Amino acid sequence: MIGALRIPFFIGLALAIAFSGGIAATKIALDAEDPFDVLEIGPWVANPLAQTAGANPYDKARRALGDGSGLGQAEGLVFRATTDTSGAPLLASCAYLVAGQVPASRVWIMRLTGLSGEISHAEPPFSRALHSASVLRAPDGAFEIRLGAEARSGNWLFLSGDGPFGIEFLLFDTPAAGNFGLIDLEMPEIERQDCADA
Amino acid sequence: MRNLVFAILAGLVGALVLHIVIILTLPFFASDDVYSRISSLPANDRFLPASAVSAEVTSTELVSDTPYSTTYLCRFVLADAPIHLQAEGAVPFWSLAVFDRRSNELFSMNDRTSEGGGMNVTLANPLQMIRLREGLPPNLAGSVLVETDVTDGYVLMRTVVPDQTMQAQANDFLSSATCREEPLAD
Repeated sequence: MIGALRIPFFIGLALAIAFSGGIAATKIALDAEDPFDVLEIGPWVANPLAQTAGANPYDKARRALGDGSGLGQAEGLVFRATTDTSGAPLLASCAYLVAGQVPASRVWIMRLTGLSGEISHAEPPFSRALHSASVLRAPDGAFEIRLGAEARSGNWLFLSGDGPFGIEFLLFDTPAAGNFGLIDLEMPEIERQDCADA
Repeated sequence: MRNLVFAILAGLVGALVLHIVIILTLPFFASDDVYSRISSLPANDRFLPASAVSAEVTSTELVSDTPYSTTYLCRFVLADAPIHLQAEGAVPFWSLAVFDRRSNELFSMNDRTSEGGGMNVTLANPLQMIRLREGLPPNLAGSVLVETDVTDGYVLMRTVVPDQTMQAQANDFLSSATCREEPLAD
């Protein structure tokens, strides 16, 4: 009896592995950060090709799932970070210092996002984003932006809650969008300050 | 035992094949991509605010606008006549990106690459382009001509307004934007 069921059992096992493995691998690959064709500067990641016909199949599949409104190449480039400069994940219960410069661009906007990319909604009067014309800078153009639940002097964005979050820089009209290593690009350092007791 | 190892290996190979097939065919079966979600919008009309369209036609946001940027979109069908994208006015920054229905970028530009600061772009298929080269209609003078093979897609137009005092100007610019067919004379 058992002998007669051996072949169907092995076929069933192979099919079960194929379907569960295939679907799981696809879901994981689409949810993960894209490791291909990206421009990495420290913790910052950008994908200049994501919206083009030259994008890799994973980007195209992601666009099919709704991610189809990114910036065109002449429009600009989006840099995202989900870890600080040391590699530790960004946590909303901590305070951070974002300091340095961004690549040349006409105007940039910095905002905080949830990990899956949706925007975190700071309640008014707190601003959810900063832009290049509103930021105070040092004489050499460098800036320091503090993120945290406590108001600070200088550049400050409200950050509170718990769990992971991301930082996005939208650089509009930037030569970085068409650049793969020709210009030495610089992005700010992200430094963790004190954390709220969890 | 050998059969078990063989079954597991066959399963893993099958998983790999299935993974590749799903990834490669997703764009062809998608019902949740941007173009599908805006396919109920009138084509070749005017630019509509993406946030309002999102609220009307879909549960998720089409475009994630920031407090300082606004995106308008227009669906186009390029068939009988070239599509003329036009907007007048002054904003600190605008940019434009044309996508096909699979969200591949066909063309993008920003205000620095336009003549005179306003938006003036014409999309045409190769046949229409030949006729445009023979004689440009007066309406299309100074327009950036973009030749493309695609028959339908969408256009996103973004403005960045760093200051509330410029919001009125930006709204004028955005709501004046059209993406109409420009019939060619026979």
